[in-house]
Amino acid sequence: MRFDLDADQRALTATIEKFAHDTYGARSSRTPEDAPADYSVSVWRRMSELGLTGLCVPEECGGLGFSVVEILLVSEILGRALSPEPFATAAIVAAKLLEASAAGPTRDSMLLAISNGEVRLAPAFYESVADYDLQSVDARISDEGGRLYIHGVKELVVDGAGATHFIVTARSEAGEINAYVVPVDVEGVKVSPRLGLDGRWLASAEFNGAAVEGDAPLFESGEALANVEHALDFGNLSLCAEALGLMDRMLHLTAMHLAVREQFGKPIGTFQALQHRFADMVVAMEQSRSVTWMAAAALESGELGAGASDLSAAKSAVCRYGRTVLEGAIQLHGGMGMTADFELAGYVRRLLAIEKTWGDRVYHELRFLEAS
Amino acid sequence: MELGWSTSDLEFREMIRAEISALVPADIRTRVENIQHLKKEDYQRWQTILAERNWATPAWPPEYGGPGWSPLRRIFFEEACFLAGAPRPIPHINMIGPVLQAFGTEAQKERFLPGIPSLTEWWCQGYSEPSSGSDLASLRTAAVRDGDHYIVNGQKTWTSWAHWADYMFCLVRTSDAGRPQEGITFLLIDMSTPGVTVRPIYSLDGAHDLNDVFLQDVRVPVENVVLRENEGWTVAKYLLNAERTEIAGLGQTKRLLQYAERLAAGQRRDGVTLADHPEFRSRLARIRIDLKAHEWTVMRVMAAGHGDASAPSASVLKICGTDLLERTSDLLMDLGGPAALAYDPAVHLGRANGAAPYGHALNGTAATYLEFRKAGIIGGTTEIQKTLIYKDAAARWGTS
Ligand SMILES: Cc1cc2nc3c(=O)[nH]c(=O)nc-3n(C[C@H](O)[C@H](O)[C@H](O)COP(=O)(O)OP(=O)(O)OC[C@H]3O[C@@H](n4cnc5c(N)ncnc54)[C@H](O)[C@@H]3O)c2cc1C
Repeated sequence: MRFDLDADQRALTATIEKFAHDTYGARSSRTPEDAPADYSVSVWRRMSELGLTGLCVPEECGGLGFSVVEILLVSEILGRALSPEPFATAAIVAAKLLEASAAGPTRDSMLLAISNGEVRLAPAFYESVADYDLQSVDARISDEGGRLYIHGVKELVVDGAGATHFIVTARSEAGEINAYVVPVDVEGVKVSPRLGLDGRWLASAEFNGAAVEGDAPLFESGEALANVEHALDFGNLSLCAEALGLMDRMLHLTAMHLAVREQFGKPIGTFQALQHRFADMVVAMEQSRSVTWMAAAALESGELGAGASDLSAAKSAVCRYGRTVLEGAIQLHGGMGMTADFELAGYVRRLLAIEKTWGDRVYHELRFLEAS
Repeated sequence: MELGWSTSDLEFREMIRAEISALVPADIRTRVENIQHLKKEDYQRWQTILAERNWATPAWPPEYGGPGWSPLRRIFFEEACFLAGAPRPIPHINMIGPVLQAFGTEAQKERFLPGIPSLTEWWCQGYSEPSSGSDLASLRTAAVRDGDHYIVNGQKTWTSWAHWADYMFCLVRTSDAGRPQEGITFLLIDMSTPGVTVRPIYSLDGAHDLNDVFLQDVRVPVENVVLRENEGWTVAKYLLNAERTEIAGLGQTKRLLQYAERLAAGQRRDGVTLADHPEFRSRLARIRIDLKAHEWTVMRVMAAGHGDASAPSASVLKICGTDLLERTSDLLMDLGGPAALAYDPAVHLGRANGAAPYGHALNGTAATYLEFRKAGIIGGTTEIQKTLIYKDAAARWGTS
């Protein structure tokens, strides 16, 4: 076990940091609903040139074939820069799911297109907005002489409004859940954008007999759900690491405020009550990093189902510690912490959105109990 | 000591619940129950309805048109209002009203008190400045005497509802001699005076409640001083006492709790309603229990009256209220579940009509969590309140 970076990892980090700085460095803060942080196709292309969209795609499919350590490094930097690009969805969950899928033309061409930055796939698994039950699937497939068509509605599709394709779970005519790729621009797909808590665009995706890419499911019978869960574990790992970047930036903003803001004739950072609250935030951040790295180690083997319990432990803990950090940051900023125009606001709202994406604290605590 | 409630108090409670419930306009009730933000006109309409029955200013003494209710009856009234989905009382009624009653000239009372109960004249509070928040006494907005006017220059910030306000009660510096507190004057400023500029500040949830108020060569007649020049700190301290039941946040906590309970009863997760879900059941119970304790603390304070050192201080009320508001809004954030990932601010904040993507109730959960991060900041921060509690406590318990 080693916690320092090797030369390649340091080089990757430097490249991504430069990209983040060039792309987001001078961005002014904004009110999320005034200027929703929709991601940009040109930035996505640039990310693909750097290899980021194909970070986890196997080398034979045009990707870098990297694993958990690189996911951690990249996600944290993107988090620190408040990058709105669909990295966790399109570069992690979609890539992981396709990689695991049955060999065939859809798999290989899609993976290549992900690496090239030509497509952005959004996982569309949830139908209920009340829980994160992957098995409550009413969407269904109709088989019309070997042509497959999909019918159903998916909600809260993360990064769905700007996606080129959806990966949709649906039931076959035999009632079995499988996953299917559906392009957004075929007949019978209706995308309704929904503004997200973090100012990014989610979607409701309605499928009224839309044609399935390749006319085949992604998985052999009975294998889809476990693979979907496993891909989401990698997505959540990316979100946890992104949260580390968010927390790091919040600590930075807060520490600077404590140093420069004066009340009663001295910097407020001289008040012990605030030092202690800040210390709580630091501890929460360190614990978040530890559980995130723990989850990465548990997922590293890539074996189906491995790491579920540690990942859920990490996600639930990051949700909890994240609140400690964001609430402390607001409180220590006083009135300034409540304003939408101050940089902190975007970080707060993104951290809360991460909490709600692919299982919240409550969901992952229960999943941890079941898996361990 | 007599801990029970009298029959007449209980009859009053029944009466006021029935009356209030029949009075709240349906459209306002719907927005309140959806926890959507209200418009200025909604507050005015409701206060006008109350004013017709003489209930618009429950805490004012009868000689100024208050109903003369006991502290307990005021709590029953507030409870009836929140149960019926009425707008929350506008804090300024119990701030500027009692100040004018205690310190105002006859002319000021005559001029300003009548506009308060039905909110025909809206007030805002101009205390905080960019460099003066917790250390309020360091404020620098200057008022310089020029004949029978003051010329006011400076900036106020975080001014709630300044964009709706006709008047601002304001703390200004009139002298640099002595302690900073000794050079402050309490001044009433007409917001339509040339030189007053209001600029919106948007909050975390996207709402526009707060403002910067810029004051440039604003001419204010000297008769708008309350009490005397350089005695504004006395007025400000009195006002802090007058607002201490406001600061307890009882009504707001009850409203949030009611909203949480309704949501918990109506949403299912993992095969059970959220009200029966192990995660939420005990949290709801704990908040309800602490709210009961808080309610009794508030009653003890109300019954004790001013200057009774054995009663819990305003700071104790503020800390308990803040804790409950933070926890209840935190619970709402969790009750929102996945749906809280989407947030349509326009319909929540009342800027647009129409439906929210997954219903108004779910749409309001994250926004309410974000909004109530303010609880520990407004009206004296949690850190400042705890220091005050310690100072009181050291004097009371720390001497042999
Ligand atoms: C929603 C909202 C509505 C408001 N409405 C109004 C209004 O209508 N009118 C008005 O005048 N003001 C209003 N305010 C302003 C409010 O009163 C101030 O925000 C508050 O007094 C804190 O001041 P500040 O924001 O400058 O923070 P600061 O005073 O800079 O505080 C920053 C941090 O330092 C801490 N701190 C400061 N001094 C000490 C100390 N000695 N010991 C320990 N910790 C300390 C604080 O607790 C806080 O955590 C409103 C604020 C909010 C958020």
